[in-house]
Amino acid sequence: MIADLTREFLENYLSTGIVDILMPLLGLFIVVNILLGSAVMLTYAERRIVARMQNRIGPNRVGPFGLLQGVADLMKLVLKEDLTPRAADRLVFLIAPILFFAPAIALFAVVPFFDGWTVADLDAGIVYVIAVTSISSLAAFAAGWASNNKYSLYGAVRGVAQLVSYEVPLILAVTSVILLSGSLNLQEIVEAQGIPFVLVQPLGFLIMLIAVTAELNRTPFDINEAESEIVAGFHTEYTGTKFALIYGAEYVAALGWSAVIVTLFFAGWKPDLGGIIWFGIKTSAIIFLFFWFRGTWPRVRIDQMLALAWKLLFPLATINILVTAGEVLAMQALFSLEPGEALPVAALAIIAAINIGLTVAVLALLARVPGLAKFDQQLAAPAGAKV
Amino acid sequence: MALFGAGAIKGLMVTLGYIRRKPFTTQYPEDKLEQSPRFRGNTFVWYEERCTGCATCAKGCPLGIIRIVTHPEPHSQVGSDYHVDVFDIDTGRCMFCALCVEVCPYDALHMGGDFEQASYGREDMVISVEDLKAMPKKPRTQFRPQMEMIGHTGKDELEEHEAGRWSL
Repeated sequence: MIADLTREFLENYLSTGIVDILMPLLGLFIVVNILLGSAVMLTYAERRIVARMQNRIGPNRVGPFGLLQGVADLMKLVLKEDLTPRAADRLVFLIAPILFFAPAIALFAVVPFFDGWTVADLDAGIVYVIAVTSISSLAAFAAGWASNNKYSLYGAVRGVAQLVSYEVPLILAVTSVILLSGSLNLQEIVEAQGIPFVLVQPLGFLIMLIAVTAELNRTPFDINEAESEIVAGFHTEYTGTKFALIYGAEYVAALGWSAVIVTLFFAGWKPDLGGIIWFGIKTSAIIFLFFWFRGTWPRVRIDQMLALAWKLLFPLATINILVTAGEVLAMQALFSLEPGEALPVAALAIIAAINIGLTVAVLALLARVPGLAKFDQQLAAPAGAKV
Repeated sequence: MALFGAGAIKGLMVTLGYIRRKPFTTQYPEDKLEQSPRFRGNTFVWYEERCTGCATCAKGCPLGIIRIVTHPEPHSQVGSDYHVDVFDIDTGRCMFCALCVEVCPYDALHMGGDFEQASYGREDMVISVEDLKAMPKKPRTQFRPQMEMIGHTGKDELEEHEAGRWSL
């Protein structure tokens, strides 16, 4: 592969020890640069897509089709004056954007781009993903607190309430995937998916999608930076490069979580159709989903948001785990497997059939709950749409 | 509604449908929207032949931004026996109420349709009598709706005998 060719090329000039150190750094360099580039392009993509959903054109002036808009925005932000409020806690104010950005990048260390293409092939990969992404709630709070501004603090407190709440259903949804695959390693989770887990775990996927939308502070759960209520929430006081870091980190994190969702539920790089491109297409589709949500749904209130996490997603995810665990045990008995052994496709198909039926039943049941039906009705009509 | 989430999907389908629609945006410097015939721009159309230099427009201006200086010129070939030397309209302070146009007894002053008069200084926004003479004679029909009866939409040039509520 490319990695081996590069290694051979470098070994002609350097000693083996230096090449051993250089190779991971080279991989890191490529991955991080691709990420930063995609974050810049994603801001452009979001603006164009959301604009079309609102019958506008969006940025189309800078470069061909406005493709360089993200570059122009970035240059503007980097060249701007970097202000720090007089009453701010200077050290924490400086650290918070870095703390926000670093986990978003670090998330990609374990993402399996292709068979064997992982920067760090950790055995506890999914635990690492959850641990690293939890740091963003700390960073949001640090940013809000250090700004010494009431809007920033409101945003930060809202953000912490939201991120802590949605962490629970998120982890429970991930657990149901771990039960099926019998591994914490993302590479092995991909290999365990004879059938994409979105079919085997439809309810888990829905819970994961909602929880990730909340984790990313994206509409309809963007109450911690709700621009019509609290200016810009926790990053109100940030300007220039620091703002660029926070803004970019949101897109890198969106990319990272999309990659994780693809890995957990859409069989990652499988089936093998042209290597990393297939993984990229799937990830882009999930990102488009986030853009689509933003173009469609109104922002939920804080009480609706917390109620959704604790009264709906948490119980559903718990029940989902119990059901999945029962199904896995039954399949192990049926196909006489060792504990921890990957389930064959036939077993997955049976579980998928049961779970799809159960999910439809649960959704039908939820539609009978008056409060939830009303909440759902709110999402049916985007602002200004004739329904 | 059968399933929970059907409303959310319905909402998503609405915005997905919007993607296929043509955007409403007008790409301004390249494309321009058509203006109404009675649109008031920040230029004026002045017919020297119709003007008597009576300065009724200057008196009618609520802001007092029109300055007119005339001198007698008996048996003039153009217009009346008074020659207009100065006709300054300070569009930097103008609020485009068109009262000067309304009060003109001879229908010599009309609103113009140009709106791209940005400049680097306030002094550049004063329209002088030379500017008024050079202006394309495309009067808008604000306070002159009778001009619409002869099919004028503000897009074409009009001779001085065609402009106004009555012909010369």
